[in-house]
Amino acid sequence: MRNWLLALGLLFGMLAVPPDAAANPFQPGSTREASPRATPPPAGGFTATVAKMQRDMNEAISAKFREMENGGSPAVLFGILLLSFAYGALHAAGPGHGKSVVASYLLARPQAWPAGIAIGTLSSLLQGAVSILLVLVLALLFEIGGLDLMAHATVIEAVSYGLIVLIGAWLFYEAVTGRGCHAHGHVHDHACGHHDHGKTKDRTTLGLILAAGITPCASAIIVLLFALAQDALAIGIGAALVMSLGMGVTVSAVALMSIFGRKTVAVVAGHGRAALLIERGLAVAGSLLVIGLAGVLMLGAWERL
Amino acid sequence: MRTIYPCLARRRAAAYLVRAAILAAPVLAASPAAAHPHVFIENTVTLVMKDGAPDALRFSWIFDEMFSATLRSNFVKGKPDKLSKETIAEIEKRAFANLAQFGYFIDLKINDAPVKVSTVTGFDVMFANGRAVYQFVVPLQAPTPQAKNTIQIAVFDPEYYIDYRFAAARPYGIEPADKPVAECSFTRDVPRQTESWGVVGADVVTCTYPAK
Repeated sequence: MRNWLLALGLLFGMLAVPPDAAANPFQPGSTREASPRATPPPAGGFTATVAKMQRDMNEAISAKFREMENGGSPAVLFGILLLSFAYGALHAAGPGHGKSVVASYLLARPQAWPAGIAIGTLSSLLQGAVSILLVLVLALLFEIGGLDLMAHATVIEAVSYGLIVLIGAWLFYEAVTGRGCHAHGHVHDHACGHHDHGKTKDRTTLGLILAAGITPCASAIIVLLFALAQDALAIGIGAALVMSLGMGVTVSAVALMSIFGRKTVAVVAGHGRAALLIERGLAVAGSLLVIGLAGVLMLGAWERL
Repeated sequence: MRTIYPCLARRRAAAYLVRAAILAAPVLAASPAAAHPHVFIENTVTLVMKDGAPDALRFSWIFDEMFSATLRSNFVKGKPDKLSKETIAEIEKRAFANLAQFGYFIDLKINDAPVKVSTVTGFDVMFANGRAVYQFVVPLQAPTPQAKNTIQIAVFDPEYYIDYRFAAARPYGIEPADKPVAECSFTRDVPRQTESWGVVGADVVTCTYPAK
């Protein structure tokens, strides 16, 4: 029984990842809900430092772009890419990029670590690619301005989170009906909600990667528009891709934390009845979290339209 | 071990876990939809004194080059030396006026009493060295000066979409400049709680002025 409670404690500790969405307050119609927070997060030298580093990197990247404009060198180009990668990794460390959704998904659905890396990296890279496509088509082809372009991005964001809500609903259905759950007998650490055992391709995970990946990333869009203004679109595309890769590293890290956290819970729970209950509970709780978090983020994006 | 007993217990505990999850979900979901900074603004405030009391605050917001490019692409065609009145009005309407609902992110305290910023005047915008610069005035109706008065000025976006800091070169100014009746000082990185970004450093300008 004590193991049981410890496991539950671990579970809820892991879930303390704040949800996130970006609201551009400059644009008309953009509102923000008053957001009560029961307990403020612990004072963070970390967040203040990350904030400062982002500001410095933003400056440094623009400075390097100007150097390129005045006849750059491969070293300057390398500098832009390196800075963009680091900026991406740092940027994703703050709230954003659906990390909480990914973490909840991996609670609901046990996966091996390569899947965590795949989810983090592929969805982020896809976000970068979508941002590039959006800027190429809307800004270059249709000459739509930056703020309007970001408003279009918000529509896609709402759709993306809507799709993730559906995925959460599917996970919930799986968890509640116990599809693929070994009802009796000994317990694996992946007893419930995991009906394919890696033998077949996991279509749900692929769905999550696609659903999360179609959201363009505001940071990538801003870099691309800046590059466009500097007549350095190619470098901007490179920077946006590398930036997404950096974000992918951070999201993957969160995914791995969730996977290993879940494994730890399973190990602590041990074998037997309690373990099975926890397994089932994780599947249900994780799926509800996916629905809840993605739902809130979807409504947030909707409100900004 | 095929017995029906584990199933029953499982259902009971599963029901408990579902309840726990339902209780936990709103708590987690209620934490705000937050954002990391996408915009970086360097800020200068000028305290305008009149008849020994604060009459207005003049702000200048210098945007980072990247977001400046985003703004510019939306409103400015070509590379004009000076923006037309129409363009400035358009930028005010579509990329500034909305901040009114947030009090323009200006946190103002006169003698420790918070003052809500609801109107600004004289909005102007220009692009210099690839940076957008917003300028505007906050009219003040300061209370009757006491023996010693303080006015505290901070600009802070609690959601942290925008990172504001006072410009290192010139965080503040005082007018009239020839015989200033106020004294200001400037504190960098005062810890400040954001809605979901943890604590970040926010700058504060504090000015003092005597009774007339």
